Amino acid sequence: MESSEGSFKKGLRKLRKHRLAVFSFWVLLVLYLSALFAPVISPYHYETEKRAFSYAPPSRIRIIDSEGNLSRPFIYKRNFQFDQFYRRIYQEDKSEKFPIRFFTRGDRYHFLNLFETDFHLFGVDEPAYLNLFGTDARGRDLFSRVIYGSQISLSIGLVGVFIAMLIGSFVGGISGYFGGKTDSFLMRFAEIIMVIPSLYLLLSLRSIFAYNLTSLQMYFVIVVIMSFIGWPGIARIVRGMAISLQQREYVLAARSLGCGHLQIIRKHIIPHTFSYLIVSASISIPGYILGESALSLLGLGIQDPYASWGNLLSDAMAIAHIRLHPWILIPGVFIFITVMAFNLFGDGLRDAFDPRSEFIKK
Amino acid sequence: MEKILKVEELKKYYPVKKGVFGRAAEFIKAVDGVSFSLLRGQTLGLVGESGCGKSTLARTILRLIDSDSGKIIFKGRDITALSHREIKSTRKDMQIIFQDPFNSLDPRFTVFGIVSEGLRNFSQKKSKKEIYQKVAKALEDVGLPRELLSRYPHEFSGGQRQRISIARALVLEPELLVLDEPVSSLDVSIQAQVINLLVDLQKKKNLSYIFIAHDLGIVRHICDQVCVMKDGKIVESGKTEAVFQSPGHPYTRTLLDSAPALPL
Repeated sequence: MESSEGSFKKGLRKLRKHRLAVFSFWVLLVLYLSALFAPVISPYHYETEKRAFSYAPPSRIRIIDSEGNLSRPFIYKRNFQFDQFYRRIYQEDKSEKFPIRFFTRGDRYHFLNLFETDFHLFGVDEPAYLNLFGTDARGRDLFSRVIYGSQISLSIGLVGVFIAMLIGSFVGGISGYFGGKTDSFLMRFAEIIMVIPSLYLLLSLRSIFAYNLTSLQMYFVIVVIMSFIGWPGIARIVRGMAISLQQREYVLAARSLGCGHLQIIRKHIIPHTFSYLIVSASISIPGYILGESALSLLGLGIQDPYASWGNLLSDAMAIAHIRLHPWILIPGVFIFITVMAFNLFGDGLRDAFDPRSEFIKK
Repeated sequence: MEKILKVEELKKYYPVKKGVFGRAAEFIKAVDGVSFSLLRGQTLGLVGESGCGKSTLARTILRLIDSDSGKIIFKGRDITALSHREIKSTRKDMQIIFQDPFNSLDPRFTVFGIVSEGLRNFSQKKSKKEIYQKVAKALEDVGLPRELLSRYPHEFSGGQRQRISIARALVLEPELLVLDEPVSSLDVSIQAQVINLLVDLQKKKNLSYIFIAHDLGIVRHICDQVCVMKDGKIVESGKTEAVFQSPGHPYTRTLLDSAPALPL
């Protein structure tokens, strides 16, 4: 039999060979780091709006100026005119170059609630407006909002999965350990939640809570709803493992050593399901991100002016907007990338650690 | 001599569920009216073929499984009547060693974690240092150096693991030790070592053993009394030598005849 450490190292080695998983891991790491340092990376605050730049397309970053000389990356200031339909047509004013400055000053913000600063990774001088991904209807920089939005969209998956795992492993552990009527009752309850289509469940649960909540309350409401939908799947898996673990002799030995039932579940059963839990968590995180997006897209989740990938996409619900301002779909690209990365990484984790086969072996 | 354990008409039936509604139509009589008694400091052998209910009997005596009827009188107290809360204080005095040392130690615990678990459950007031001293002492009692305390079970051989499980039981200073085929899964050379260790410990600490085995040679070697079990019932019991010399029940004779004659 193998040790937990030995098989962990072996799994890690296997994981490193899984190229897609490694690549996905780095993608996720970059995404999460940029969420953590969102105020530094984004050139503007998520609430900074310049109405004059409504639906401005992404800025063109140039390195060759109008005289044909190579220079450091710069953008031109943009002006707009209305066409006959009163649409804004943006034109670059090529008289003055605005170089992109790194490690510059900009909007003030509180970093991680620790200190106030105005340090930004990059930006341009006023009056030029740097929009890597264009702007939205109110002229807010979409790049900054996508980065700020990732704080909510990415963290909701982690927090939601964590809570679902706590509930799921506890209920599953109790169910599998005690068996009998407790088991039937808990599992039937979990199945009832599982058979309701999750979108309807999501909407009906959302309707339990008040419509106008503060953004923080809303965040927790979404986490609670998502983990309520997520725990039964985890509970069923943990239950299956607990049934088999519960027959191990060390569980009996723990009984004779005076351990209580809950103590045994906590110390001798749930820890043995960890490897599976971690894999299944990484596979189920995309569901949480999509759930948040779905709620926010429908206007039931994170509310303007706060940004999440879902509510940024809600701008793209009108087909005319997509045709005229295709850059407002960019948050969707981020959702896609994140979900793919989590799925591929989860696949890699599962292949590498393969807890089910390990489980049978034991 | 004092009777440490007296079992009277102990029964444990398992229902066999049949049909849609799972009504129990039949029962498997794992333990069917077993009575015996054990004197302090002595060893009682339980022999019989696989599936005759030896292990179930052992677990029922320790109340790891609840019995259906009958009495288990341990140190003058009927423990079948105790509630789950009350039983906890009794558990300290009766411990069990399992057959498979690969299955009876939690692979995620260090040796210290495994051996100290009982101590931490029964005496919360003890200081860390005291617990450490006791655990180290128990480990030395079973012939393992205390340097091994931070190792994990998988780093040990079968015999060493069985010593760890003995240490885990002994650290609580029990009076009754149930040995559920403690050496069946070990190499023959290791078997002798573990058996000798058990015999030494019994003498030193005046322990009482219930020794479950199907190796009759070992039973003859260490048991004072022997009970022969078949289909949940004790078909013959008595002093070991008497039973081995002149078996009364035909099943005992079959068992004795089928045992390979190994000199021990």
